[in-house]
Amino acid sequence: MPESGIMPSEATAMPGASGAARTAVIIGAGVLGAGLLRGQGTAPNDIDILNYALTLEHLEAAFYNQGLRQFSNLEIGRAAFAQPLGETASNELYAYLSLIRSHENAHVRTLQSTLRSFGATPVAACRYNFDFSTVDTFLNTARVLENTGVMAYNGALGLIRSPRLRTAAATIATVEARHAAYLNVLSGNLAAPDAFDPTKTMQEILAIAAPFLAACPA
Amino acid sequence: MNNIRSITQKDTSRRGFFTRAAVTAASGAIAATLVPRTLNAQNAVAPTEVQVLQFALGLEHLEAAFYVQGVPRYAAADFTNAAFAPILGSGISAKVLDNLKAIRDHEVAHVAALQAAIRGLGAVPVAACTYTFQYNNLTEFLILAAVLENTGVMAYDGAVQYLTTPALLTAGASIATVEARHASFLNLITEAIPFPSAFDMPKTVAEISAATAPFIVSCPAPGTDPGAGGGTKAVANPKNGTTAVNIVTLDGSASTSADGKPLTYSWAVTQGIASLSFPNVARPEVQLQGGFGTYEFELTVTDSTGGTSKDRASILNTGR
Repeated sequence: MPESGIMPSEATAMPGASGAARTAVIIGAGVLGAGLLRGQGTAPNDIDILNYALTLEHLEAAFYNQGLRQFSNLEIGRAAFAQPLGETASNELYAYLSLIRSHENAHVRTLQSTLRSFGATPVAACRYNFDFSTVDTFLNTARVLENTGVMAYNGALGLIRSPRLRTAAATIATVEARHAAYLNVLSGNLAAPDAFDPTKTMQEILAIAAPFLAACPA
Repeated sequence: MNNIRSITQKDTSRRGFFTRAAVTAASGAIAATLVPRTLNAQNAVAPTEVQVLQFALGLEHLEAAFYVQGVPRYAAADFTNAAFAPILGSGISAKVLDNLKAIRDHEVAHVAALQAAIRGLGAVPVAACTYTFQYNNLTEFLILAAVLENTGVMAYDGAVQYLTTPALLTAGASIATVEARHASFLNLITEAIPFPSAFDMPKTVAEISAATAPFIVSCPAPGTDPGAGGGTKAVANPKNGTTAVNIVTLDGSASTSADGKPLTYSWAVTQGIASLSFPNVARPEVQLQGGFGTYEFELTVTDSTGGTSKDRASILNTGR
């Protein structure tokens, strides 16, 4: 629990970022947030929201790119997560995680090209802190990240002005929700815990993401 | 890599089934329209927000009816003995029924929320239709469920562009991602890929209406609103009953449904210390644990449109 209390309670439940790294990176997220949020009271425009989504997709893509480099198919099959699974579901775990990785990377590329098509500069990826000490931390963090992604998209969709971009964001949001449901089920939770998925504001989401950010380009 | 390949093959074989299922359903059903006629004109004119909400409500009615009718047909053992049980493992298969009940409750809640939103905009919500769902066993039921949920995702993803009020957009998004969670789960347990694409496919109102038409037998004339005016009535018995033993049976089976479709039941203890082992059946057994005194119970019935009604039963325990 950070002494400052600026992070919402969800962040304290986040596995995956070491306590030491946490406080330092909040400053980084502050900078990032300021760039995205353009001061208080001003509604973000579509470019801001696309860059916000890209920030999250960069994080997710890096998370799976690094995690799946670190852990082999065999190691993932040995995770506590995988034990209640039948043989087929267990064998599919690595393949499905790889598929999620490819989706997150596709989301990054699409958001970058969309931003460029508007003449805007896509935000760059940061350097991240992920706790890959065990396969189970990796899988738990994956579950938290995907569920956070759903809350982020649902919170932002009402702010998007362009109908075409609303459709694009919705088609990504539902894919994040599919990932989240899969990871929920693997960990023994309901695929869909609520009739209406909760939403979170940009500020709330950036605070949750902060512990994972080591350093972001200016 | 082998896994990915086998997953892809699976998905292909599944698509073949989708087509077969749709054809089977179509042969036995009279196609009817799910949405106002103005919406079906190839989307030439962008639909209004009310039309989009009515379209969503039509889909949610269909989904709610599917689960309200289907879920009670299966017991926990059907799931642990199912073909998918050894594939998924005991951890997941033991939770399938819980997930299906949650999904059913979600669809009923979506119906109620959309009805309220439509009434809030001064319109009369579309009523539920009469549906036909053809499945002969649990596996077919689950595959049909997966078809409906994946269709729901495409419908919402295609429709959000027409919503402009931020609060309605947020609500629409929060439902869309829940449908996507359902779709992911049902794909998983029916051996299809939970998330087959990096971007879900948005579909037009016309496309969705064509996909759901085979499930619709007939729809009531527009403008009727049974959910608002009642017609569904809870009847809880006994009224002022007496007992000298500690185990009695409550009876909600005289309750009536506005559209004649099965009701869902929910019993609660409102006075006295008592325990209901199965609070969601029409005739639950209740154990009176507080000895002598009056016990009261409240029954809430919910119809396929999300319309609810409440009634009370009371029992005097003359025993010790």
